[in-house]
Amino acid sequence: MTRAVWCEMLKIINEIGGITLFILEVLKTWKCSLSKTFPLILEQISLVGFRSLTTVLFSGFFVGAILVIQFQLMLSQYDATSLLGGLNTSATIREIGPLIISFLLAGKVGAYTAAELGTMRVTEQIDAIRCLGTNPMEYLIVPRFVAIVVCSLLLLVFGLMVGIIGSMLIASILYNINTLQYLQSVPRFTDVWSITGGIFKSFVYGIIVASVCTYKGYNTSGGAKGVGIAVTQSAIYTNLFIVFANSFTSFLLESFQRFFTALTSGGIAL
Amino acid sequence: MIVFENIYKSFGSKKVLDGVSFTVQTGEILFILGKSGMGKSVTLKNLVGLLKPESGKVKVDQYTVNELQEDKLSEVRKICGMVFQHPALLDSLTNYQNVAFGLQEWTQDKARQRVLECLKLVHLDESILLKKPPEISYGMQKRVSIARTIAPGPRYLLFDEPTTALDPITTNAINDLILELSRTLKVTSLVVSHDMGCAMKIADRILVLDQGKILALGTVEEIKKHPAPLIQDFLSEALSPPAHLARDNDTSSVV
Amino acid sequence: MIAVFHIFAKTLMTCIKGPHRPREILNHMYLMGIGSLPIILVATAFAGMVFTLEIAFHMDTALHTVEMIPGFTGQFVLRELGIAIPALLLVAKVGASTAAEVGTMKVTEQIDALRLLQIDPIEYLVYPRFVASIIAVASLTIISIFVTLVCAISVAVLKYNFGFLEYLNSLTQFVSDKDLLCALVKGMVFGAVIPIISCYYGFYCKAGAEGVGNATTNSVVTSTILVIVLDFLLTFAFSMIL
Repeated sequence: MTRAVWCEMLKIINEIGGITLFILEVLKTWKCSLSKTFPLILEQISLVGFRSLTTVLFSGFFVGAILVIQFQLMLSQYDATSLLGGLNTSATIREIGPLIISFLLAGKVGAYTAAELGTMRVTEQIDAIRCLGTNPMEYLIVPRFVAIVVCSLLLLVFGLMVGIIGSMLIASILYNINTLQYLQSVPRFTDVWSITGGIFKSFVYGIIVASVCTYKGYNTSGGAKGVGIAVTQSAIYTNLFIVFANSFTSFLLESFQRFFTALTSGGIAL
Repeated sequence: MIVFENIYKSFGSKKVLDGVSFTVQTGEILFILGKSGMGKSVTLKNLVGLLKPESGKVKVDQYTVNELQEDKLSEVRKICGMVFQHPALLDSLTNYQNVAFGLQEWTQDKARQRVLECLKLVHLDESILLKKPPEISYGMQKRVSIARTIAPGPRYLLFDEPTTALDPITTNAINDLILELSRTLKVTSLVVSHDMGCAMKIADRILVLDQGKILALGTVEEIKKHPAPLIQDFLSEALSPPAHLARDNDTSSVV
Repeated sequence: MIAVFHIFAKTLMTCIKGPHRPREILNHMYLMGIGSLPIILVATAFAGMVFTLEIAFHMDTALHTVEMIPGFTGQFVLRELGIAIPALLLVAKVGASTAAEVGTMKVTEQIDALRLLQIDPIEYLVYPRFVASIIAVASLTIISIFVTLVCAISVAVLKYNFGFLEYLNSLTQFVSDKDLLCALVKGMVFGAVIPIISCYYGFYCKAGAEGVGNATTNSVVTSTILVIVLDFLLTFAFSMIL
């Protein structure tokens, strides 16, 4: 069993290496063709956003509902139900919101992008583009990459709004907690750091979805079967890396917050 | 002129090209034949820098292709146009945009003129220009992909299995088109195929690859007389009459 | 839509009537269960650690109390985190690969070949995956709950100086075997959903590489949404019971 875990970890490290190099290549290409790729990026943003908005809104609502029920169950045992609004909102903004939205993005947009690029690769469209004097990185990859990262942030805003509304709705329907009561405890748990944290996490997850899916799609081989494999691996690795990134970003943000608070309070003391 | 000098290419342990050397004369139609998996498409891809050989030189006019970096390869790709096995048209663009894809540095008017010219050369009607590739038939998509390739005005045309998966009538039409384009545009054509019949009809010379090596290289007449069993098999398949006709002539056996 | 119910109904009928193909079921259980185990272990370990850190941080800074940590984290892991994270990962792994596999079979005409050989594709393809998935996902859910708890406990013990036994004591006050049973039921429901949806998209896959890509994508998206909706319904139902 440990051997299997070790093999799996090696595979994952290998993937991370390849993807990092790919990201550097994408960024380099973007830097060299900022004006050329701008209209393509805008086009992709509208396509990606359009594709995923309804999914995010629909699922966001349900996730908000699930969380409020779970938290209510737990808090009622400590007789601390007044904290429901604050705790739920904070957890949504800091953790669950970015996580679930990224999972959805990974499925809807990520898998789609991997499939699209993979199909283009196996039907020789990418080779054809190269032969006709256009850089496929510039034409295909950069717009999709940037669009996914930008949409990740935009969708976070929508997803969080819907999630919080969903929670509030369920709280009032099931537990007779009105909006005012609900929002009372929010400031205690939510602050600038929570929001910054949520945005930062979304940004990181967006980069993960963008890079893994474009990388896998671009490097597909082997016909229809190859496309299937590429999409499957994108789906698996994006979700896995998002979970890893969750840990790292949480740790990073917490340390940064501690450091910053110590700095400012230390400064004041001085 | 295209020169292949001692090309070695393998994928893993499989040797696909094992010391291949030949020259393509300007203006000729050279067919590269062989069984599936014998390195025919790999030869073409080496010519445009989509693949690089392990050793040897690939020369197109004054360029040594395998030694060029990606940005310099665009010079080679301007003079070598490749028609892929699949039409490889971009589904999200109209047929017009597909044909004009290689003309991005041209002015709008010149590009439009050129697209219409190329469409005439491949015998397609203007009406398909506003449609997208999935909306036209596979045979038409093949023609559009040929139009796309000839639009920038390359000196060399490379065809990767142009008639695979086509019905006999469309196959003949594409073959005739290849011949016509070669004469009209005065280009050199390199065609990869496993259809000896096509080769017999339109090739100037035929090159047969087997196990990564050149089995034979010569004119159609020379190939017809070649003793190798593989070539004789290819020939008999190409030249034999359809089975049902043979059965009609001799009711006691099926050929 | 109707096709999905048709597939589901036929699969249930095969559960009752057979043929049961135990070897196929075991094979798929191995692929889905053992095959996904490393990823699930790693992912849930990380998720468990992060969640405990976050909750503890909240309790610490906002409430200045760490008493609630064991009960809170334990409950949340058992009721939600330990189930949702593996479920979503398995939707990706099992769902996508099943859709891709069945889609490729459709595109290469293997499904038609089965029909001509008088073999019902639903019986042959869907049923073994259905049974295997239910068992595999349920087992992986239980394993991942255990792993997540261990990691959560480690974080609490190492960072907030909880005693190990103290934590367990506090935990058992708030969770019961009913929670575990609910987790198992959720796992089984999610396990049932994934193969049905994936095989549906696989069967109706359009031609070519593009078709396979679309089938795989749609299967992941639909399964994810369905898992979230079912999670809500089950959570609601269980909250009434517990």
